[in-house]
Amino acid sequence: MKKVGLKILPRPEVLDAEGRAVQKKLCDLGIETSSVEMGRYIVLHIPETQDVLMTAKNAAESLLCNSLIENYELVVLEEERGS
Amino acid sequence: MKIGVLRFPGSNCDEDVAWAVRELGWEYEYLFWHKTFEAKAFTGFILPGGFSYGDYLRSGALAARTQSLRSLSLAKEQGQPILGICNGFQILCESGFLPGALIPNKTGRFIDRMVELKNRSDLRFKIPIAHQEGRFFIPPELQASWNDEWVWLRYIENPNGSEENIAGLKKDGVWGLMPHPERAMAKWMGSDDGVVLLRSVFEG
Repeated sequence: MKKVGLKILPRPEVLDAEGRAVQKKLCDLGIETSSVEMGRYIVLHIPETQDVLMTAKNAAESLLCNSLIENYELVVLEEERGS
Repeated sequence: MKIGVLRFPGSNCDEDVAWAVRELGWEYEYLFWHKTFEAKAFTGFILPGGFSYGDYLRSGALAARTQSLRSLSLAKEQGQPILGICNGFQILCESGFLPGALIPNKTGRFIDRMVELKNRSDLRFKIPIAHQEGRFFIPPELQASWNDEWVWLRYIENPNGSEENIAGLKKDGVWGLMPHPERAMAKWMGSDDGVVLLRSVFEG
């Protein structure tokens, strides 16, 4: 079994209203940042009987990421023991 | 005149839409998300508002990938009018029936109030909005091919940061808008401008 991490963040062209709201709140708490990006992190557990990267890419492109407004990054994570 | 009213898990404006359809003197039938249907049995279709699939992943993303959309695709090819209201509009964008995307409001807040809209002939309509992800976005790669004729309705005062003040689109017989015409059917509701909007979609 392989674990694949999918990091999804808004495209730079999209004003990240959520990120901005969170940044302002952090600032209220005394934590200064120049910007904050809010996105989604999805972990897919894929059996090695499949082409793991292809499956993950397929999942990202057919459902998990809307390429009009988001970009995604795939990262193969450490292997799990067992199946 | 028979309207198919789509129902997804989490749709909550389906009954209001059905009521509005009856107010206009038309018939309706509920259509469930997981089944295909005989499109020819209907004059047109409405995808109502709500929180289909809890807005999980992205608003409208999961609903856009259900069996009923396959039947809607056939309906579109047959030239039958399809209207998406609020979450319905989000579903139509997610499924590619309409261009662009609806993203979180610029203010980061859920907005729930009456707004004024105008159409291409500068006719005004008072219709309520109630949404968190109502900001219309045209991605850079669509800018070049963007056709302004697709814009059906614009906000007079942009409440959510929508590009070009877009409140609603109309393209190839598919219509979508973020405001709720079914909540503007009578003076006691604050406005009856929803009547003429709904008639313009289905009565041409």
